[in-house]
Amino acid sequence: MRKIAAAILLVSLMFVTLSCAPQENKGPVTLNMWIMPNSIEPVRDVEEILKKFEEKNPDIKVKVTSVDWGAAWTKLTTAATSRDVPDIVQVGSTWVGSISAMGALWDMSGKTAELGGPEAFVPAAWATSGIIGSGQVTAIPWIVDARCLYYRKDVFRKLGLTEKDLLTWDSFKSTLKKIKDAKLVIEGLEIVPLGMPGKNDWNVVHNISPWIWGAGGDYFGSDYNVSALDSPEALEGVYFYINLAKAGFVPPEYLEFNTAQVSSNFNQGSVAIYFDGPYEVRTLTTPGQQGGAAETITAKNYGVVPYPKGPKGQYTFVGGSNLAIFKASKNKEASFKVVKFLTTDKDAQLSYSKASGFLPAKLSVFNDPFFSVDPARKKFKEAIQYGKTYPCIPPWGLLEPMLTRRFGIIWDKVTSARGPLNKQDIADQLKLGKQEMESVINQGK
Amino acid sequence: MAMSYYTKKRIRDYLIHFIMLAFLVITLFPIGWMVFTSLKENNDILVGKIPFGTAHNDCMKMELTPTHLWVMSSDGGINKIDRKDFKIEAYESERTSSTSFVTDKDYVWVGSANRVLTRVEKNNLKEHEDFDLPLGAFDQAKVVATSVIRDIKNDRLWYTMQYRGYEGLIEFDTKDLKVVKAYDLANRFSPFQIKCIARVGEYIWVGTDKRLFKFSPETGEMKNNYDIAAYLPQGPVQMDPMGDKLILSGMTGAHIFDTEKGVVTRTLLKDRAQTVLPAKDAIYVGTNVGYERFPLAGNGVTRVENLFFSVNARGDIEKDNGYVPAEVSAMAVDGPTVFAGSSYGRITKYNAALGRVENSAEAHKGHRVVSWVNYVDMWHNVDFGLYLRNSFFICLLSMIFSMVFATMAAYAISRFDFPGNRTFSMTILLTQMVPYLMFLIPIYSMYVKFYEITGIPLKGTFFGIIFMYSIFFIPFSIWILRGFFAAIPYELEEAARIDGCSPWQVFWHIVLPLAVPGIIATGVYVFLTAWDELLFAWVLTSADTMTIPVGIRNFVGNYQNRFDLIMAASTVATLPVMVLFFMLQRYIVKGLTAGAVKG
Amino acid sequence: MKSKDKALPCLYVTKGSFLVHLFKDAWHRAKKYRFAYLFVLPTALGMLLLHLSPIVQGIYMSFLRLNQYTINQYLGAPFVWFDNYYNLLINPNSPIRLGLFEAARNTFIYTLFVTIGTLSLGLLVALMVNRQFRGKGMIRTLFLFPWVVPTYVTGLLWGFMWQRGVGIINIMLVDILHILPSKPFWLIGHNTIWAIIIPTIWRYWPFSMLLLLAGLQSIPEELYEAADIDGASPWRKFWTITFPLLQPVWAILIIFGLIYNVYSFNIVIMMFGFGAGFPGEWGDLMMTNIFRNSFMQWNFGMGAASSVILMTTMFILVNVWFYFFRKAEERRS
Repeated sequence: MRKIAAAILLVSLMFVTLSCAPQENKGPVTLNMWIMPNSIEPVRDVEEILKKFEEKNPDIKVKVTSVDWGAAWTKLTTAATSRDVPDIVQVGSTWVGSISAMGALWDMSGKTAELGGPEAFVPAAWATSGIIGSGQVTAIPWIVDARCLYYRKDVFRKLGLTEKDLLTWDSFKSTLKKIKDAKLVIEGLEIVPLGMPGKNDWNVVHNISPWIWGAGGDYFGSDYNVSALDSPEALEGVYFYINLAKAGFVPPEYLEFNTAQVSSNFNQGSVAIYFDGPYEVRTLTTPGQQGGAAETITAKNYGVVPYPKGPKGQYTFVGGSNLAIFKASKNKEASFKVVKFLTTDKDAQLSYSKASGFLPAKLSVFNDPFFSVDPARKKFKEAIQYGKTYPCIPPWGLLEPMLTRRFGIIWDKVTSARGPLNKQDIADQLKLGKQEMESVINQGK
Repeated sequence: MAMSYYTKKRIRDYLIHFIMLAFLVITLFPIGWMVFTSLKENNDILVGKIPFGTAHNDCMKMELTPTHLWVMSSDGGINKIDRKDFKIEAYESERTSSTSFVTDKDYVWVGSANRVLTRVEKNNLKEHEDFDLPLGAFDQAKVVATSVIRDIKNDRLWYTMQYRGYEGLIEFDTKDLKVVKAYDLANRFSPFQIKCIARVGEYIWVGTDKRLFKFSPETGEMKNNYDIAAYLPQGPVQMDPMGDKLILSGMTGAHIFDTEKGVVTRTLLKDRAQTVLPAKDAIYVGTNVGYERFPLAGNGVTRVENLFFSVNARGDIEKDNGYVPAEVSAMAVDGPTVFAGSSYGRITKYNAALGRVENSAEAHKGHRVVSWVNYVDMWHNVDFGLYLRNSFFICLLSMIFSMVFATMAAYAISRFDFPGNRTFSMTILLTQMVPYLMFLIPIYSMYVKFYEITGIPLKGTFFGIIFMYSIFFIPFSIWILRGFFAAIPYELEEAARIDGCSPWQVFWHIVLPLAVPGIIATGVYVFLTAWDELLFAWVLTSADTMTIPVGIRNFVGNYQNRFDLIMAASTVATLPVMVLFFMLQRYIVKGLTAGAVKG
Repeated sequence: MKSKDKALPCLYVTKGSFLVHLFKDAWHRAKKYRFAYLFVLPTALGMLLLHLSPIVQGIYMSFLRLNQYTINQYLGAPFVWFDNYYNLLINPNSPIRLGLFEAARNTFIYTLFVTIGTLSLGLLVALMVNRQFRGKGMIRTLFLFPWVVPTYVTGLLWGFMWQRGVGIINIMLVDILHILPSKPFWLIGHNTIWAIIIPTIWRYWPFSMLLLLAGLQSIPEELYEAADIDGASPWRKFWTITFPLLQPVWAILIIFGLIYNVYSFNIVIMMFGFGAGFPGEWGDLMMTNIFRNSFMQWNFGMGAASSVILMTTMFILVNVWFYFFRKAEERRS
């Protein structure tokens, strides 16, 4: 027994010493890159694109790791506290302000000319390249997200509706009502007028923002120290949006879904109208075996139009992801080469857009037929024109989870309250939200 | 009615037994449900369908003979339908996935991902034979489509498939039933995916997501390539030869491509084309809502919609029962009679001269599907083997280390009243009361600092996480093990000591053997807890050292709507520990009960 | 048993002046207990490194304004004394305070119900299994299976089953058994607390059963026989014999339950948006709350402060438990 125990100990000690032997970099530099799962095979897609780069730069190797959004938040935080960081990291455009404020990202403002200057990029995306007013460029736009409205052509045809019935908030609402009253059943599935996720989701704030903006409201008042969440306009927007669910256009169970689940239901054919980004077009044109839904009834019958126009104008949320280099990286110049390749090389941008479904960040890439042949993609090309994003300020990264929670509580009102939605309830919640926002903003001072 | 004491007791016993068994069923139900769900198709899960689903029987190909209509569906179903009464005369399912068909006089050739190439006799559908082709290793679940075309001139079949990473073409002799040659098409446009193939004249045309290639089988070389992105940015889904022309069709339209000039000469459709049928007198294009008929030359198009009705179980048409999607995915034409097939196996006979539907039918339902493939798919999607190995390695070593040290410490504090014993015991208890989240940032930063000072990485290495786990599970193990040692009679040790044994000998020869069941039990408990740990592994492991919980967490973040895969992953994460537990349960039950109760 | 090892030190009393005596005694003891110290040393070192030092750092962190602006300074962040505690407990304008209250309330309800649930279910099943019948060992093993299911899987699985529309639980309750008239929400609103309590009970009760079963088996049969002779009803036998004699077991189970459930994290995090979103006013527990404050709001100072508060509360609770348990033990002996 003693021998066995000793043997086990010895073997395990050997394993440990082997596994903890320090790895040395010999020859070419190996860069560590963290990306989020932007596509079905996230690492493979980026590696395939980087192959061309590595052929041209044989001394640079890139090791791509995929970190999912939830884990990324944690991992980035812990990394920011230390000097032990990846070289290149994908940063959600709404996180740029916060992570830059930590002082963890490398300022590339001196190198913007090499990238073709700010004019080369989608303006709304470039607005998230660094903290407003700091003059710094800490994250270069890589992929762009914009939201549009997807609808089922077969449902519309059956009910005699057209795209024009989705132009304004009012016609949008009456269209929903018509779909609801028709109680269509297609292929054994009841058609739900509108599919939107409730509160268990990353997109809670992004989903609600276009309605706030469309009603003339905004998150900030005169400057970024004052919250305007309690303004009557913001209330109007939130009320309109939430009321869509209360009015029965969204089945209650959808409120516990996340975007992925709602999107599946839309793809499977039980939803008539649905808001989503350009990647949904990719899903609907990609075969099931590769993670898409090109065979479904929806894929054969969908159309894309912009968000309905609100009383104060047409807005959509534009987001996406940027690439940043950690200040603590030991290979900043080599990393910049990679970032430059991924964000400005036409082929790299186009191929990645095809693989991930996101829009390219470089404007000239939109001239490719890929964005003009398909009518759905054309709509997204237009969407980036009227799209709006959040201000790139340090506290935004903190405000988003806070707003997510607050809107989550508002969503609870839909399911718990009997009878019609009480506008005052929402107003109270928004007032609390304003207080919270301001206390978070002041925390930084 | 008076019952004897024993009757009452027996009834009560049966009742208790029944309740117990019912309770057992309820208890095990969630686990069973997890396994059951992991074998279902995701679409069925999403709509809440409880039994296993059936394979899709979308119409893929139609062929006309003077008496019969052959309808091939995507599940490998071959329906022989009588043209007169429109009833299925013979049916056989090949149970294939990513199916494609090509027919000749006597046979139906079925290309598929799971059976590769199958030959079915037309006269006797039961008579079939499989052929293996040199395709290399691939994941069946990710094969988008197979393409089989026939070369009438020399009895050859050409086979390829749309699969990421496959860029080949296989020539098969239908007379000798042998593979003639496998061609590798990789070129400077690689990586690409082959979507379909067609033969025009001497050349095989290969439609990919990047370019349209002209391949010469004689020389085995790529002759030319054409950019058709302006028409079909995602490549053609189907290509049909028409003389020296080629009709390319796909997501964004159908176009006629002149193979001599290498340009698109005519655009038929700018919407999604489901299928194309170049007939003698016209070109038929199946669309999302019906079909469109284009003359061979010149303009003018005839659109036909509303071709389909629901057919009930008896095969009767139900005209008023809701709305039926009506895309046409397969067609066959005989004079004015047009046969059109749709998804869900709907078949219609339309008289174009009269403008009305003459008859409707439904292809045979698909077979029930138990999706073992979910496991394969999950395994290919994420590196689950690596996670499993990592988890085993990390948990096993953590268990060994923490058990070694905990046994020692537990023995010491239960047998020796050394100064500091109380403080030590109290500290052990105290650490159990600290929210472990509080440790996370400090440990992380200590690991990083250690790396900066010594150059030895701890974060992201096996050593780092094993070290952390080993230390972390010690207090709890000590707590349990104390009870075991306390339960071992002290007289034994005393006797040994009087015999002149050193403390070490006493420990090793007398106490340890007696404590083995307890140590095993505690060890398994530590193993289970380590297997269960998410938060630290989340932060302290890297891609190479990731454990199962982190893997699952990432996986779930990635595939939020793939419940089939999520449940398959959960099952895989649960089964190993369940088996381990089952094997060791005797020890665990004995050990844990003895230790914890007496402690 | 325990009293025996207490006898050991008296063997080494030496003569001499008081100080020398003390010193010599200590030296002798240290020498005598060399073996014990050797055995404890690795554990002590490891715990010093990975337990005590992080705890000290954590407590220190709770006095720092450690947020996204100062995170890169780590322990060098501004020292603000009790600011974090003030904001957590007193400041009415602090958004975190409200969240903390909800989380604390939920954790309390959660711990209470889970502990009671696991204990009573465990006892019930232990009583049922503790009879003579064929396949007893097998059935006991099968009952233990949920305990082996990892908690992250438990969260995922039950989250999947709780879905309102297509979840099997609602389908069972409403479509098949017709117990409820309409499908309730489990993952939104007040029911959330049940949606996390029930899976936790499911996961942990087999462990209680296991220990209680062992406890039951150690109760001498003669006691029951004597009670039978007295003509005691089963109910009475349970309350006068079984329950009191099982006291050490359920006392241990209570403390286990307390520690496990207050620090429950995996089930909730995997059930609600996989770390995204917010579990809701009735689903948020202390650990998820601290996690969100620390890693999503990047307010590590606050996170550490709530950890310290939680730790103190736990410390008091465990002491109370000790007090009662000790008392009971003394009474018995």
